[in-house]
Amino acid sequence: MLRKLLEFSGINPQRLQMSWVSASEGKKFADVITGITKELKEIGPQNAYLREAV
Amino acid sequence: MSIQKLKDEAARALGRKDVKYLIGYKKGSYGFRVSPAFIEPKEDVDQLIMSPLCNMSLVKYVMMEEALPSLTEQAKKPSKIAIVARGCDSRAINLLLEEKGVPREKLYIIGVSCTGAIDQRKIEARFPQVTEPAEVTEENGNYIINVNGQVHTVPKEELLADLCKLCRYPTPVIYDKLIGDKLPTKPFHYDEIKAFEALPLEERLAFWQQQFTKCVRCYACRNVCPLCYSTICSLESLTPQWLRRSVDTSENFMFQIIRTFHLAGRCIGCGECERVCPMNLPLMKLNRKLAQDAKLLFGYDSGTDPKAKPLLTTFHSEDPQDFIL
Repeated sequence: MLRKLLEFSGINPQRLQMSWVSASEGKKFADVITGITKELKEIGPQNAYLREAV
Repeated sequence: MSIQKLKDEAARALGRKDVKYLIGYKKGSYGFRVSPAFIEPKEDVDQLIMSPLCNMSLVKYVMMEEALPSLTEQAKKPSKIAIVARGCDSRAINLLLEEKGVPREKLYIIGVSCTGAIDQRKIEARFPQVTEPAEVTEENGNYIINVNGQVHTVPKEELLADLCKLCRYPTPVIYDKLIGDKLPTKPFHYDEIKAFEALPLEERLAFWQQQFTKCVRCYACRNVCPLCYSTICSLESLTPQWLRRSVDTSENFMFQIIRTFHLAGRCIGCGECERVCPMNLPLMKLNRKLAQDAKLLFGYDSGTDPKAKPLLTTFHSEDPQDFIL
């Protein structure tokens, strides 16, 4: 639902991903993280709601 | 519905030994405003009114009730609060019962069939600078408005609040006594949300950026919400600090997403947040989006069944899981 809400408010839903990885599944963990970082690099940084530097 | 019936019923409720006081509406002191009335002696029920101007939700006052310090003192006082509830208020009560936010024994609900309330902004735009308390009644699809001794007739459509046009449960879904006729339940429709969803991502982003820039973070939307009753609020928490105090687009966005998401599967669509917002943010657009998803994804309709389990606390193996990688 959060994903749908973010999509509704104009954030690319690819930025929020969820997966279940057990502590014993080292290979799966590596795969998931590599996959996500690859996808995120394709989308590029989100500049719309940057926190102002204080 | 007749006001005399409401007064009689209120007097009967106050006559009960276990009822402490009654929360209803009374005439306001200024323009088109109505005030909440807290009535203890039953002679005072004549103050009660019920008119299309009664556009505020009284359920919040139930949650603001302070318990007496000791249990013995609590036991001495009668425990029930009688409350005048319209369709949307009754759904809020239902949700509170669902979440065990308030016990059913604490409430005596006088349900009132509601044909919609007037939008304060619309009527004030139509009749500006009204300082004397005005009276409004509804007749055959028109509002008869008595301002400063002059009587105006305005078609209902022009002043009715936008959310009331979308109302699906005009008759209370839970009550001890119902006043007025049972009105038909209307079908589920979220056309304007669907239309907004169809816009491209960039346009949606631009729309919300523009809206959230306006937010002044007065937290009125949170304070008025009948379902925001946590004593510890993540918006004020300093450890961890989820969002900064500064009012800028990024923090405002975070605030609104937190606020909306806390109402995911809970919001009953009374529109109080939007009504009190000083900056006219379209907050119900976010809330209705989540209400639509709760209905479409999980078949859950908040506040219609006091025995249902709160949506986000339950798990079914049939729940959609396509978002998990």
